[in-house]
Amino acid sequence: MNDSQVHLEHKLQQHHQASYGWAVACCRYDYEQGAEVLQTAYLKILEGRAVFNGRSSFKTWLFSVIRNTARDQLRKEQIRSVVLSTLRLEPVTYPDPDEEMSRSLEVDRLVAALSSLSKRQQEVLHLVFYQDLTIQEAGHVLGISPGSAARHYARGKAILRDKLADWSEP
Amino acid sequence: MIFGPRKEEHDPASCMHDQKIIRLFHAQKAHYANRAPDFSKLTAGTRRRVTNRSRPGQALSAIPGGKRAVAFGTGLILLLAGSLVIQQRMLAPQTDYGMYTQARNIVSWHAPSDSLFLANPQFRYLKDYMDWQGPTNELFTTGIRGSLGG
Repeated sequence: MNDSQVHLEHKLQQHHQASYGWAVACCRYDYEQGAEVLQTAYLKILEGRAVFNGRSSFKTWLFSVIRNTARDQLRKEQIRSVVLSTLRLEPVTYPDPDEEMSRSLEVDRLVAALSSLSKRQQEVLHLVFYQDLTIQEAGHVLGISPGSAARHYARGKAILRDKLADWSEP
Repeated sequence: MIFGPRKEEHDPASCMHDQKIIRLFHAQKAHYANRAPDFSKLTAGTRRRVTNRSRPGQALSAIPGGKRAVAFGTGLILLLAGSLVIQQRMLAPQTDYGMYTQARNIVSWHAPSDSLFLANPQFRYLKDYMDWQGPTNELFTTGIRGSLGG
């Protein structure tokens, strides 16, 4: 492994936890799929198929790669599920008991409230509140203008505030 | 700046109305931090995948771009040449001289008479000006036209 690859891995490690949170959010809060998407995104970067050109911060670029990877993967999943349903071979899925137990009430509540938002609104709110990015940076990750990102942010937050109005902290 | 970030957008924590949302997101962050897969394990898996992919001669996609283009071009040229040869052989006019031999064996075969040929002005010219021997059996059984000249 050469120096640049070591440097790249070091930078990826710095953002690893944030990247995992973003990958899970991009995969409809599916932990397993989030980890898989993250690994595929790392592979793209380490293989040199995704190259950082310095036009944005490393973090926003990394988040764009993760988002694109998640989109590709979800598209493949959709095609797979359509094929399976056509063949009447529904994949059997069982809820993971560990996952069910470990998910806290607060997280459940937030995920439920977020599910009533559009995908774009969910993404902008995650990037601003969870990842501490500015709206402009969030727009850069999503490939939209800052104005558009600001609109999604304002609308999403208003809906989320309504959904959580009756929620009181435990 | 028209779409410049407002203070509220820049620093969500400063907005009192958003405290509930912020707390929930922080809870989510703490929860996911506990679940995040180990970085070294994840990248070790990634490295394995990289190594497997770069193994030489595994697939066409593993060959570098230039070599792949040359291999593809050569294959295409060979395929086109092969199909051209086959087409030429299939469409080439073939004289079935065996047909005449068969006819001679089945019916009583007589060589065509001079009159048949002399009706044609070209043959008349041959007869008048060249050493015309008349059609021979050889012409019909082998297709060799050399007998015209004698």
